Amino acid sequence: MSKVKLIPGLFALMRMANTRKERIEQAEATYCPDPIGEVAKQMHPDFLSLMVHRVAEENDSVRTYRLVCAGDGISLPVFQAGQYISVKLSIGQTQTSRAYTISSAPYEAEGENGYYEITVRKKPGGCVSGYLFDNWKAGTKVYATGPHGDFYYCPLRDHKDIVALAGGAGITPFRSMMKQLAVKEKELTLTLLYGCKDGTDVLFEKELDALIEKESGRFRRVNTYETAPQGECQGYLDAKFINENIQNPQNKTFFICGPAIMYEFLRDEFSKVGNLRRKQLRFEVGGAPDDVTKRKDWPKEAKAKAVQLTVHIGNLSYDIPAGTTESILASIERAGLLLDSCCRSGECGICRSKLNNGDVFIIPDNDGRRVVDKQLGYIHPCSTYPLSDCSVTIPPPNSVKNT
Amino acid sequence: MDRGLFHERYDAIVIGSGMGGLAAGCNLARCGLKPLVLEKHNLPGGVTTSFVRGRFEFEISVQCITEYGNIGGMGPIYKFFHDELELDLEFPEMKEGRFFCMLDKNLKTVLPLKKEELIAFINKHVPGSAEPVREYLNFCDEMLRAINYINDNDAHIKPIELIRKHKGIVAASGLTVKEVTDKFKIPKEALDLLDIYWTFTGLPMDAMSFPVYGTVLSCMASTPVYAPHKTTFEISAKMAEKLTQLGGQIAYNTRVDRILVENGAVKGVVTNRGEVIKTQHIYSNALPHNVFCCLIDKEDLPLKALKQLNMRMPGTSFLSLYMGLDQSYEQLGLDHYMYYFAKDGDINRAYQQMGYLKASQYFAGMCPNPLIQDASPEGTSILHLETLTKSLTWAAVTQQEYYKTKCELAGALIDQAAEVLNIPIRDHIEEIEICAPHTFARYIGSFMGNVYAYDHRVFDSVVIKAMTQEKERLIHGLSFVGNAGLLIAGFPSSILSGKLATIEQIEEYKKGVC
Repeated sequence: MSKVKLIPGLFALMRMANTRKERIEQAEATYCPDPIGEVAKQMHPDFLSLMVHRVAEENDSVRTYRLVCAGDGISLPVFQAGQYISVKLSIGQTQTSRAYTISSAPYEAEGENGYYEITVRKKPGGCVSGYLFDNWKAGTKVYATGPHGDFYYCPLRDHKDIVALAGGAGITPFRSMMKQLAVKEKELTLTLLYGCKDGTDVLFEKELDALIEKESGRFRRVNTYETAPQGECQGYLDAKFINENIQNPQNKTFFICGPAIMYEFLRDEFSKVGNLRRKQLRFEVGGAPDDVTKRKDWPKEAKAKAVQLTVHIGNLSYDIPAGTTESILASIERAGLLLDSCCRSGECGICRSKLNNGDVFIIPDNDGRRVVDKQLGYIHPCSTYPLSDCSVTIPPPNSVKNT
Repeated sequence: MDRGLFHERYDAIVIGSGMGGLAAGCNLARCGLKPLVLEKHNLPGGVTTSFVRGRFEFEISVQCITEYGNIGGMGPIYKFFHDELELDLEFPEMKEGRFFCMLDKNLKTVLPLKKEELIAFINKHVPGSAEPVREYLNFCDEMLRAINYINDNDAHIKPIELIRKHKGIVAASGLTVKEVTDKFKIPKEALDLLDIYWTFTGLPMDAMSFPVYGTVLSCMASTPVYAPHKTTFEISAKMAEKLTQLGGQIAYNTRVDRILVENGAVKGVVTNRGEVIKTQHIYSNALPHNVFCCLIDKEDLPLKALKQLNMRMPGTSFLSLYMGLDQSYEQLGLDHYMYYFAKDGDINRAYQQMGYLKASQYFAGMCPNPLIQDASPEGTSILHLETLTKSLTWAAVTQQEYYKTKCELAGALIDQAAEVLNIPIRDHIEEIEICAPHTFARYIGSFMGNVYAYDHRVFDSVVIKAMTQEKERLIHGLSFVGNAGLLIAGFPSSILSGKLATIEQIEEYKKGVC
């Protein structure tokens, strides 16, 4: 005999059905606010509508663009020092994007007059940086994503003493960190080891020196140069240089930002620095390589040649020209097709697409694909190079808001 | 001729590719219809997914897969995945019990998985409790059997049949957990040991519908339980692949911004890019709150729809943290797959703590490595800690405070776990990510970032929902699947709700074909 009896149970059920009916009748017919959704949207908007507020020349080939909200009464999403935004660009028929580290501090983004700054180096023959230098002026409208990326200090993971290793323009996240740390998170210290080509290559020198002077107990900077000005340290950012300048490296977290060649070099050098654990080394992703064929792991048998790419989007399909030395994403953009992208380093997966057939080379460094995606043939086109004719299925773009 | 991403019309449009949406889409496609699944994110799965940080891939949400196994056989999820969809999936079975610590009693133990072992274990701690516990668990099994019956019969249940064959669920459907457990006269200390499975539900015992809780307990105690091998993203990704193989279509980065309604019936949807796609059937994996407050024009929305929303009790979200540790589980001593940490057996206190912006003293953990050896690279391990939280508590947190707040709460959970397990967790964190209600709101877009859509109060639980489903349907052709579907919240129910919701259309279609 059951302890829970049917007849009283049925009565209880009827009472509850009635409760439901009454609750509906008594409930208000009003829309329901969603404060969590609202804040989530402020932090991660579909896209940001920005405007260039001013342009600062750092040197002949480097400019800092200050970006503000294009609309009134809107504030910028909060970010962590070290994060980037992905700027959406329309150059000729090419719709593309570039990830730029926010070089200003998080506190400078607060409020209605808040801003992000991005610092761009003009690369010789660089299509996008050249375009920015020629076209971006005060008043230019800019579309971008909200802040992204995992290259920032986390109190639960990192040591309170930070060593920042910057190579050339890789100084940008550390400018943001130092400006922020000078104002907030006073328990942290930061030592900047800055590798430059020569004296003219040093960025933000006065600004950083002022911060270091103000926070002399917490901040320190040592530069090293390939061609050193008089009295300065000559040589690469290597194990010797790190060991000379950093005491007790096992109690520090190293943030590293610079060109791909510096990462390759440093990975070996770090084995000669104390007894570092992997968790102490945080490398920023660096975008697509200038020349993928120069990579050590580039397949030797692969030849620079033209291939055909068949691209499926929903019920549409296109045959477009591509080349073995250009990423699938770049070929798709060149053809005037839209494919959302963000980190352009293989990590974030925004451009996740399906490779239906064909041989490809995938840069392994920041391959952020899930185990099952690898098994099912998904690729991140920003870090995938077609070695034969290929067919891919790409997602439609999230929105069609490009400049 | 169609010259665009989409055809002009589909047999059905599914909003969202969570488990309910994918199940609905796959089931329609399997039966010869042409569904279109629209997903706002660039991945399938909703919270049934994973993410990558550094050299780790983290499971987001599912610790164990229930209803894949059954009492003495395979369950409805197995039947759907394996027999009907022929998905290539295999899950390792959990063999070890759940680590369980009750701080106030200084109790650290492992709760056995299998029913008789569990009864013996509880009896050892609380002598004389075996009989009432067994009787109670048997009654819980009746709940699971009844839910299976509903699933097996594809919702074609005549109430009289349900009463005849499964009177337990009918008898208990108007009752709270407390009302039912009181009848079994189980000693309180014995009940405390069973209550650890509460972490899967998150409601006070005197408010929660019994069949919901009974089903969860029965799944845990009386059926084999499985673990996702390559994270549950394997399930989402393979369902999405299957959907296309079966002739369905799925589009990512495609958010439905409007549902078109004419004369009280759905006509189609408008996407974030402005595409208009026609259909007469919409299966919404998006919650009723999202649909009625944001997707349907005011003039097409019956006032009663808003009353139906406000009648419900908003559900629950999570504070969830995922850690990649730089030593193996053996080195660290993380010997168990599942963990549960509690101050005491006071469920009401645990429920109250969900409403504070303070780290709860009741939380769960998972370390996949002891069961899934390749869950992370050699020499590393993964630890996931999570606690239930009420989203409204987070409403006062500004953007500026958000990151700091979630780090502080996560840090307090880590420290509690570290102390109990005597493992210096913080020293080994190589990667960490913390999800709060905002994170869920961002990725799945659910109202208030809730993961469990609505509280399973007695008036809003499965049998009563089934009884009122048709009467409360205000817009013809619009059905809800997933968490807000017919069954209970959670992974297996979401899948089955998607399957159930499509039965009627499939039958109509089959009649038309004949």
